[in-house]
Amino acid sequence: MSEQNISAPSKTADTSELSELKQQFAELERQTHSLRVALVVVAVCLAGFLALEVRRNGQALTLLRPQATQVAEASKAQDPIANKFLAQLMDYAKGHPDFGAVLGKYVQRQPGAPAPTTAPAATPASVKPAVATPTAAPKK
Amino acid sequence: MKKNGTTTILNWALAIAVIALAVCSIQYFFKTREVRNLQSKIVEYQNKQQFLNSLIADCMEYSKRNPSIDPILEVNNLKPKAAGTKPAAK
Repeated sequence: MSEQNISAPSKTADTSELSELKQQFAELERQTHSLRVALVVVAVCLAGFLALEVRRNGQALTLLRPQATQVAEASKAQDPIANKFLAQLMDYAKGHPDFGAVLGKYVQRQPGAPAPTTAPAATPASVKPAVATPTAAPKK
Repeated sequence: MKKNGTTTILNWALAIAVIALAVCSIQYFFKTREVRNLQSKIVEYQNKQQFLNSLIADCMEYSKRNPSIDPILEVNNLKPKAAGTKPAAK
């Protein structure tokens, strides 16, 4: 009799605890499901966006590749001539200090170019920038 | 944990989306890098052209004041040779 008296409330407690756990489990399952759906949506959206960007980049590349090839060829042909021209001008500037002032503002700014032959004092104060900032978009 | 049909479908969808995302990310990375490289090369060339054009313009301006620079400009085909100019010494 006494065992029955003890076990009856214990059973009731167990049952209520079990139902509470089941409720929590169901709630967690719902949350997991919602999160999974959200994750799928986000992943699909992100993949779609990236796929669009890849497509755009591919289109840009089809335009840029021939241009870059032309630029590389033109640069290869032009660089020796330009360097020779610059060397001639620098030679000329040695005998003409007034031209040294003109050349100075370019030679100083040319990356990799030899130092100007004239003194820096000969450079005019208002030097316009010889090299533009790389903001110009390439021709498409 | 009991797996129902919806969960299985969602798991598969998630797996496929993640794989697609990884593939697109890799492609995006490499293509963007190539576009930037090509654009920087083109911009560098344009800047070089601008530099040379500006230098040539200044040289032409200077040649109006001091024609002794003309031979250099003529040799580089930047200025037409004067009709009365003697040919270079042989």
